[in-house]
Amino acid sequence: MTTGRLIQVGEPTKNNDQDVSVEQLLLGFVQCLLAEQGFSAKHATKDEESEDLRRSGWHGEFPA
Amino acid sequence: MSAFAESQSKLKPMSCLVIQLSDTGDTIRDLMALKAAKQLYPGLELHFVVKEESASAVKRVSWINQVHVLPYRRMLAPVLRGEVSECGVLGDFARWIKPLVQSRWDFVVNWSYSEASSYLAALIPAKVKLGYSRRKDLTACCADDWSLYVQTIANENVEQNIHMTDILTTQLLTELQINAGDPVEVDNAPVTSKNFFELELGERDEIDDRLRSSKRWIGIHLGADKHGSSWSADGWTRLASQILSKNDECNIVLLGDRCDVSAAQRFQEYLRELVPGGDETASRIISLVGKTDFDLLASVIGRCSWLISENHTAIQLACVLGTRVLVIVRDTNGNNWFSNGPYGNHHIVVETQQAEPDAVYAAWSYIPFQESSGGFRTLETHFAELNCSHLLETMSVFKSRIRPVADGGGVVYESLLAKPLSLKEWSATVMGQVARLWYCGWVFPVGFEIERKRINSLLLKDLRKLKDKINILLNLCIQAEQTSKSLSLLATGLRSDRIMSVDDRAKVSEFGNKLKELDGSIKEIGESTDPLKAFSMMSQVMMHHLKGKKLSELADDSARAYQRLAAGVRVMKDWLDHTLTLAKPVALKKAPVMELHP
Repeated sequence: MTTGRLIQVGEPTKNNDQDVSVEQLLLGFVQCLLAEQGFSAKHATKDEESEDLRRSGWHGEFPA
Repeated sequence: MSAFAESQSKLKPMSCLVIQLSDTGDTIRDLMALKAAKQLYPGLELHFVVKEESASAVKRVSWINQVHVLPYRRMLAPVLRGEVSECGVLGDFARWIKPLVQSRWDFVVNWSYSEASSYLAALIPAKVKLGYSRRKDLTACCADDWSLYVQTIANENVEQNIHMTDILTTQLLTELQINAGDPVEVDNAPVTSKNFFELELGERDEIDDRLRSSKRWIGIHLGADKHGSSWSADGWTRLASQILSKNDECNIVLLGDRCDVSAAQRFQEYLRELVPGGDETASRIISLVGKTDFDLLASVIGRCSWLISENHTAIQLACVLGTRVLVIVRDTNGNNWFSNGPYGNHHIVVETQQAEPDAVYAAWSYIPFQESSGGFRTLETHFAELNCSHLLETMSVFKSRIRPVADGGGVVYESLLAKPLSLKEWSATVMGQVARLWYCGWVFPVGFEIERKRINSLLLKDLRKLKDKINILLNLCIQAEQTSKSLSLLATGLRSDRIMSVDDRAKVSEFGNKLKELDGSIKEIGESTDPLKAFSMMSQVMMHHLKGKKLSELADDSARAYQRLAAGVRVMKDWLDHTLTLAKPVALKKAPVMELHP
């Protein structure tokens, strides 16, 4: 039924006061879907990622 | 009724978005739970997020208001081709998600229980969320108590006996009742129906007509279950040959996916060798393997009297259509079929190590005898008459039954063999009770559905060993609860969680170390004792889900968590004591004896 364990039992809670951005949630979603396909992400540089992000039309808000 | 509930009933119908990114079998199971909710809350507006491969089933349900299909293959393609990094497809995903984010949902119900779905659920705002989600710091969380249970116990194959359909239904109905008030009064309308789906058969009506015209069709789905197939084509053929040769009124429709086509060909070849009468036998079989889309598969299964299969999706489909199911489950470790077995009345589960076709046929052919004799003819007698009693040693046979609402409702699987109760079954029954106590606030009477005749010396030996461990675990939980309360009391008196006197700091540290030590002991006892594993795992997950910003709030919440654990352990202790007492010899009342004098 499930495609993967959500939380390793005993995984400590992060005490991170900073709220996560929508972009991180979206990225997490995409990475998990890719992992379900058996795909491990290629290592892109920060510049490559920024360029990919710009080209994708994502500017930190849900596009109109 | 809460303020939210009152406003809902006056202003607009409730809207609910269900996220299901798993397979079609799980999607159909969700639909069964949603149908129950829709009957009780007719104003509930239901939207469904589903992957493209499972969309057909949802699109054929008239009471689902909108289906949002996730075209993930197309959207991920540039990354899979290596053209861009993951960031390169965020725009496409954002555009797809946008309408969901901008809608105002009363409920977002994530029934996928997968990692990916937790991110999607976190992105979509709602007044009430159920299932997996993400916290503000990106860590994973369960949005409600039942999801904790699913994550820790049902999904981890820890022994428990509440069916997933019952868990989901209870989870949703509880939240609906809290937030939207009492349901409408309905008669006990069945959730399953031959007309559950509005199918479009088009030009394939002739197959449907042929199935209608025959007396009795038995569906055999060659596809495997999630844990792999037990049978080759040879096994299925031997089962089919017995059905055909011993039951003149029965015909067979072979079902399967495209990957099962070669198995279907081998099936036909073997059958020609096994069953004499060439053309006549062939006329009693239709093979639709690899030829069915969702509509045709649902139509065909709906026309069958029985479906025999290992395939998860086909089984769920048959259940929702009211077709009886015989499911073959291999007796493998870690395959807890209680949670996902066939849902409804009168389905059969054959749990077996060998998966012998003779055994499956004997189990299937027993059912008409059992039902017509009112249970007087036993399965053992039936197997003996078929000269296959020896096969019973390595198999168990169960029949499903929906309990009446007055008895708590939900599906239960009853053994058709007078086999002793195993520790595994006993633990599953007790964990079901613990869940009811934790999340429903009621339990069956102690010992409900445990029969004295099924208790043997092996179980008693296991339970006696368990007894001491349960007492130790209970003591640990009570100590942890008291320590947490002491910590809470101390922390409440502190002006700050960070700045305090050296004495206070030492006391906080002492309580912290004590809790750490107790947690370690709870974990250790759970890992070394199978029936207690659920408690130690639940303890860890509950600690992950503590709520609060201040030390005193966290300590309060941990005290509540340990209190809940202790209550669960007490349930297990009560059931254990009851079972041991039940097995004790009882002195029979001396019968009056009349002495005979010569």
